[in-house]
Amino acid sequence: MNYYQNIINTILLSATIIFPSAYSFAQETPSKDQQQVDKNDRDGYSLSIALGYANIESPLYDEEKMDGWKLFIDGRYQWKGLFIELANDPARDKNLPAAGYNFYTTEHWNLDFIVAAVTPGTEFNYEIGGETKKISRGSTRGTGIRAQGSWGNSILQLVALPYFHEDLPSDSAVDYASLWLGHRWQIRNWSLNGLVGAVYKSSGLIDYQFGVPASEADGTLWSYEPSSGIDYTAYIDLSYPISKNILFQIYSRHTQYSDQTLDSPLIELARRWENRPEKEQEFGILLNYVF
Amino acid sequence: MKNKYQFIFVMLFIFTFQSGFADEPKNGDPVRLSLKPKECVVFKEGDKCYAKVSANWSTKELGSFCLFRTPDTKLECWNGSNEGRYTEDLVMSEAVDYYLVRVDSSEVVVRKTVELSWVYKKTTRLEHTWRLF
Repeated sequence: MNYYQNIINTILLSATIIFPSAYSFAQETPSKDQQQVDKNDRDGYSLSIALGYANIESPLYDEEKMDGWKLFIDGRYQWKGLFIELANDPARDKNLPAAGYNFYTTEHWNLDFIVAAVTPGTEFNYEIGGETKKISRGSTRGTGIRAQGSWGNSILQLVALPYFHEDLPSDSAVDYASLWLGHRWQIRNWSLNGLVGAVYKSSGLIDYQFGVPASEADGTLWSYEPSSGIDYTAYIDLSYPISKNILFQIYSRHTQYSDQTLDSPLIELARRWENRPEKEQEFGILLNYVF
Repeated sequence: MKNKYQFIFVMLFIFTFQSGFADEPKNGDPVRLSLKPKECVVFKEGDKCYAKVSANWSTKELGSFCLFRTPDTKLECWNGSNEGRYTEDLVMSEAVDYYLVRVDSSEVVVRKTVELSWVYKKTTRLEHTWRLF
């Protein structure tokens, strides 16, 4: 629940910060640009709700683990280039909850300024010397640029977030960067959708989430200062339109987190004690209602 | 595990009954034409839609009739008949009309449409390029 609260907090905070400033920017631009903003064809909303069965196992997040019914909600609203997005769907690694401003649009490209919820907060509890010890890490929010390219049924997405709301122990120019490639194949009335992605996290970002300073080390937990790492994800889904509002979908997602993340004592011990897998895996079968 | 089987059962049930059934014609209509399905749905606007279309027609009186599909494609003719059935595999890129023509007068006596629909509109909304943005 903390993660979703953080996401909502991030979006509300970002909307409060970005929307007035972006609106001011729009007001100050020349009339030609204003016309371009006015006719931004991404303006509008989209919303879909999916209900189905999902099986999720994760080495990092205990909250993610589940086997049963799950509700997914995808929502997006854009007004004069200003947008807010919330997606907790199976492709959520690609689609960080975000607010932002679409400042450039061509036939094939969209460039956005975004503030995004990047990583959730985590909590690690264990016992030592008869006492319960709790190690907790906050969620992170980053600010930067997103580029989305589209050619037919192929897409490319690049995200670079150099600025973080939190004080990361980092000297990297960019603390979070991702590259996603996707393609859709039509097989009669079915759609086969494939997506692969790589997510770079700086040493500072991983350290903020999973590092252990010497002051927290004890007989159980050892000190850990990670370097940067890259997480890889492959996602595939098969969709069938039952009606113009209802979409049947079966999907599978696999994520391999970097060694720098998995080697953290917070993760290594949790995996050992709770029998968590090395890879994050998700499988689901859903019915989507698309508004 | 029980949940999984319940869900699969619900899915199968929906799939079994999802295909559209043409409205039954009103009693007393002189000529009736029913199509199944009435609508073909694709993932995204611009996709081709694949359908097995079944057309059933009937009249009160015997006559000679031909069934056509747009654009001006003659599918089958019947002589001295008051009912007929025609089935074909269709690849649609737009809505398709089926119509019955009386041979002696070339009059179109009944016309019905298989509509084409999509879940996602063709826009620059990149996230819709594949499902789930």
